[in-house]
Amino acid sequence: MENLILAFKMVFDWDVLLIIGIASVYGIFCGAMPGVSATLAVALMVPVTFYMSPVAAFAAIASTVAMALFAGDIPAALMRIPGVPSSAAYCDEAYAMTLKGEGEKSLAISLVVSVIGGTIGAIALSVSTTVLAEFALEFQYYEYFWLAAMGLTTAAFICSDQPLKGLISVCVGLLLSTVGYDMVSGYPRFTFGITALMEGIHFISALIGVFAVGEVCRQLTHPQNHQVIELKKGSGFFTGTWIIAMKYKWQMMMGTVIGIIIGALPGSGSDIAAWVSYGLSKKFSKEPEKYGTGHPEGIVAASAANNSSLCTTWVPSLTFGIPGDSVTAIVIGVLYLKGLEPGPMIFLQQAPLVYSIFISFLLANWLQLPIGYVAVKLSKQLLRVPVNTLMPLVLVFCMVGSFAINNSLLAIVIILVLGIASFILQENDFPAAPLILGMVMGPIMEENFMQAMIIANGNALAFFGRPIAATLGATCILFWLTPVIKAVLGKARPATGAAASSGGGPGAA
Amino acid sequence: MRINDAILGIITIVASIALMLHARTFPALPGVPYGPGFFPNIVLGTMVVAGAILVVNGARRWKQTGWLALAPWARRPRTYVVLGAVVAAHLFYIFGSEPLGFLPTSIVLILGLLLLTRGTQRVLSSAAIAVCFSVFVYYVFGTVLRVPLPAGLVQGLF
Repeated sequence: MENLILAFKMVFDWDVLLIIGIASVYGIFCGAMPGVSATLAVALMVPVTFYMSPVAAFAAIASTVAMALFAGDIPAALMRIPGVPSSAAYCDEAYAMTLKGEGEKSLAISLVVSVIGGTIGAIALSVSTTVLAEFALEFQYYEYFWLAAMGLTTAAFICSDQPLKGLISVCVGLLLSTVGYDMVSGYPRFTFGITALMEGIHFISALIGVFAVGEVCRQLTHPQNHQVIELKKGSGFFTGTWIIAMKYKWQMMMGTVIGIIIGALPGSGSDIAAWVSYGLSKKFSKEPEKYGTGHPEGIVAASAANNSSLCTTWVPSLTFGIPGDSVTAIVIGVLYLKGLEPGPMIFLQQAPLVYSIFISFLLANWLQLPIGYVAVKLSKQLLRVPVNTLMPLVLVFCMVGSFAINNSLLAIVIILVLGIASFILQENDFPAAPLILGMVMGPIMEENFMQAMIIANGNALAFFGRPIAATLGATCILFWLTPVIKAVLGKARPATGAAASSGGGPGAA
Repeated sequence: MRINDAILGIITIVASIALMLHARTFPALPGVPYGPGFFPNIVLGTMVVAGAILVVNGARRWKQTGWLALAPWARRPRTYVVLGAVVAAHLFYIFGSEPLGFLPTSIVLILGLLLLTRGTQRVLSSAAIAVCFSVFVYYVFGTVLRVPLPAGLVQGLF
């Protein structure tokens, strides 16, 4: 108990509060810029944390990430360019709302649900770290493989209207993730002699290329007109959003729980959590046909998931020293820099510091409300800037943002190639977002698949040997078979109302 | 520009098979049963199957759509000028940023694109936007966030 009080005293110090404020604004800025993401924001902030006390440093990182993850929804909704990878899951949905004139409503929903999800996630982080850590220990190669497969399945099959093209998109993403050194044998794959490719293609470069450059091409060649319907002053923003959040409260809770669990697993973070929640909410929804037309239900589930997961990604980082996602990989570095060793002892030796991280998360989530509100109102002005003027500026952001990842000009080649490819593919109804998820999940999927195959000596039944693996595997295979079943049922019942499903069957499957 | 699914399917199949043949050259570690080409081959195999289904779907619709369906915006030559300009902008940055430096490259790039998209009459406002934005980006990314943007021609001036 004294540790908790000490932690409160450490956080509620003017220096730390000021740093939390500045870091929050920085986080919103970075998340909202199409070329910068949360990971890059934290990476660029690390040198600044050298001069801060440990409490301030972790409070700054927690606030930056919490804000950046919400702020990534802003360009996703207004320009169809996700600011962070997890916003890609509901980017199309949010943009569809903007086209209907409900852009501010979509952002308001994202904001309020993010705060609720993040608060529950922060509480979950505080009280159940040991439980989550023990659960995370149960996950081995088979479970990880099926988790990755489920994430990809929801992206390819459930979240897009064209499952076949979604599948190809996912496969392209998986292939792009294999470029570079193979983790088992060290052989450079698909590099074709180009030295710069040996490191592989960074998924943020791919995100910028596929979404931002592709969108710039779209907007410059055939812009879509959108209206700007203002929410009435005061009444709509928070109260109206609260009503919507309560309407979909089960989806929000489901998203939060999925986020908490997936975040706690090492290596899987908010992007997978957002995708899986969006997909599952569509599967269990009473109005699945509305998804993709600007329906808030999916946004509620996914927004809650991505903010709750970013709190629990600190669980494996603090307890095992294994990164929960790319941001916490950087956090582990900062932990060592400050002389702290992640591991079970950190809870005994540095309890006040650990509690101060939990408190910082809570504070950062609540601070999202006022700062996010201002950000949303300001960002609406973005809609007034003519597309012709805005797109060249976005292009320069993309170039600098992708250059900043590894200080390599190869990144710009990548965004160019992927941008043009994504433009052509999206015109032909290939969904772009599964490609990104394929790139993010590729290393996890391949690494665990290869290790599982080598250990099981090629015995496929081993993938269903453990209870969690069997459950995840069965669910995943059910998802795979759904379009096939639909196609078969559609042909078997040619009369009554199956005209829609049989029309969709051959075309979609 | 909607290309018929059959053609997209054929492209997918051909590319996947070519990559599968390339993946056969990846040497496995001795003693390890699955080499570096195992996972890529599975993914490429899936793509071949998916491509085949695309070909079937596209062939079914060939009579209605033909091999290429162009929307009105795709028939305008300006569309391809704009796309060419986007490509040229990237190439200009790749080759020009080191010798010229970030600021001059960015200003020229933005000015060029704005003249194309906004029209050549508004040179002054386009130039002003280009200069202000480039300086803003250079300051935020180069100075505050310490990204090593090349200084080039303006080195030593600040």
